[in-house]
This record gives sequence, structure tokens and C-alpha cells, in this order.
Amino acid sequence: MFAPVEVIIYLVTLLGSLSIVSSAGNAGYLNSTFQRGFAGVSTQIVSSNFLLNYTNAESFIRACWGGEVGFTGFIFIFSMAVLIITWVSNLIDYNQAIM
Amino acid sequence: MTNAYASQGLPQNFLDKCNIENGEGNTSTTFPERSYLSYDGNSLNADLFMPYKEALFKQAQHYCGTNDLYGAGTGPYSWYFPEINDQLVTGGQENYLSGIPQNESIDKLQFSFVDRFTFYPCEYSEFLDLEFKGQIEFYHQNKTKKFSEFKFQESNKYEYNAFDSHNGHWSVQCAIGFKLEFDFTGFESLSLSEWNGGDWDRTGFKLTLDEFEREDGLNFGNTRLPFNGVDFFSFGTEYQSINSVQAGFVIKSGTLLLSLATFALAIASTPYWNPIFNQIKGASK
Repeated sequence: MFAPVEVIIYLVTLLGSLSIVSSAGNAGYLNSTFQRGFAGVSTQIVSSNFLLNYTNAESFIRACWGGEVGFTGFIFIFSMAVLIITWVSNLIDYNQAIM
Repeated sequence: MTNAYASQGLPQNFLDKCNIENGEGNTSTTFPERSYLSYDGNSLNADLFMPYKEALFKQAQHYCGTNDLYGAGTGPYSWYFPEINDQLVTGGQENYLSGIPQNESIDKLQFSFVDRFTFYPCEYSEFLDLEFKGQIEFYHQNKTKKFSEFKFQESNKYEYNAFDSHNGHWSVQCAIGFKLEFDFTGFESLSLSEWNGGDWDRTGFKLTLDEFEREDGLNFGNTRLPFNGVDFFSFGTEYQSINSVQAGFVIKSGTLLLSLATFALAIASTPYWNPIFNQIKGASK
């Protein structure tokens, strides 16, 4: 089942990958489109698979969302939402997630 | 039926419910309700036969019916602990979770399924590697809480040191069976104890195993499972508990720190605050 929590993890890893590729490009690495594309896709696949299959990230976010970790869980969800909004906003305004 | 197994050393408090049908298909005799063995701690309770404290359950094709087990082939197979009709657990020795203190929660549950009445050579060709899924649904009062998507890769070979009552010595034996561990994350354990308020005496659960496959990819067919047959299989349960108060403190504190770090990362991702860049810039002055 493709749950909203998985969407959050894919989104965060996608933005993180874009940021890494963008930073590498600014530093003079990954000059060709193929290199940037390959690095971005690889980073995203590896990081999302790692978070979903080898850590408790998914069940942790689900527990926070469901109120099972108490009020601090909602604070974490709020912080994560702020992070995603910031990264998306940066991406739209400056073409990179992390300034 | 109970007396027949008593000669093999069946625990004395084992009883089994068994409806006997007469020639016309009418239920004529009902034996007493099965009484589960009490499970009184988190240590291994080795008895004479198994390296755990066992109860005997009816196999799927038990001639008295299949009222305990619903399933065949690749599953699903389900068992209620305790077996109840209205899912309202009243407490008592039949409840497997009664030994857990109120301030503790379940960290791990381990289940053993062994068809211990038939031994095979340990190189038996029907011992195979299997893949399947598990699910536990707890119930307390009228509430339920489900934990699903447990994945298992197990062999159906159960090797253990068994007591041979004929020769009077212990020897390594192989039977159809496996041991499964359901490992709950810290916040799952915490949520469980918050959900039932630590009232383990009145908490039951339903265990389901499903989607059995052979690792060699061949048709599952009549692959041997401990709970398939016409007799009984040995079942055992053990648990590992954690102090839910301490675990709750650690998890909630950790979550708060993680929240602060995530929020700081969000702010650091804006042009207004860049601590790493500022530090580098400060050092270069």
C-alpha cells in the first residue's frame, strides 16, 4: 500500500537529492546532465530505500502522525512540514533546496 | 483424546474442546473448554518435552473439526489468545499476557510451532526455507490494535534437544516447525501500553500467518507446516518486556530533540541563517 508516510519519505529524499546534486554542481562537479541525473536518481533511490527498509523512519512518522508519541510527535510533524515547505519554496525561488 | 496423550506426558492441565458428531452428523458430545497453560514469565520455561512451556493445539485437519484454526495451503492461519467469542478478555490463567507487569510493555513476542509427535532425519528433503507474513491484532475491552507487515524467512526444520522416554536420554531431534519473533519498535511498545493502560490481564491477541511461499519458488502445494495435519501441534509463547515509563521518556525526549534539529535544519535552509557558512566566514576573518 502506498501510504502518505511513504510519500513524505520519498519527498524528503527527493528534495535532499536535488540539494546534494545542486551543491555538487555549484562546487564544479557533475557538469553533464547525465551525471547530475544519474547521481540524483541514485541518491534518491538509495536514501529512500534505506529509510523505508533499514530504519524505523516510516513507522516512527506514522506513530507521530497517529499521536502515539504524544504531543512531541506532533511537534516533529510540524518541524518536518516546515522543512519540506522551506525546501520546496527554495527550489521554486532559487532552484536549490538548501541555501 | 486427552487421556491418549496423557501417557505421552501431556501437561496435566491440558484439556481440549472437541465436538464429536454421531453418524447423522449431529453433535453429541462436548468435552470441556480447552484450558491454556499459564505463561508465567519471560524466562524460558523448559519442560520435559520442549525448550519452552507448551500448549497443544489442534492441527488444521483435526478430525474433531477446525474450530481453532481457519486456513489451509498458503494461509491465512489465525489463532485467538485466548479463544473467545466476544473478544472480551476477563483475565485468568488462560491469558498468555497475564505475567506482564502493569508498568511494562511488550518489546518482543516469540512463538514456537512444532509438530513434535513426528521426528524426521535432520537431512529430510521436506525441510525447506519458507517466506511468509505475520500480523498481530491485540484486543482490550472493545478496542483493537493491529500490527501487520511482519515478514519472516524461516526453515520448517525445528531442531532441538528432545527427551526420549523409551531410552531415557536426551538427543537432538528434527521436527516440522519454526520459531517466530515479533519485534516491536520502541514507540509501538509505548503505544501498546498507552492503548491498554497496562491492563495485560484483560488483553488478548489474534495471531495470523499468511502468504506462505517456498523460497525455491516452487508451488507451495503440500509443503509441510507444523499446524497442518490431523492431530496436534506444540505451541509456545515467550515475551520480552520493557519498562514503558523509561522507554516513553527516552522516545519522547529523542523525538523532541529530533524535532528541534529538523526545525533548525529548516531555518538553516533559508538565506537568513546559515550557521555553517557563517562559522567558516568567521574563521577566515
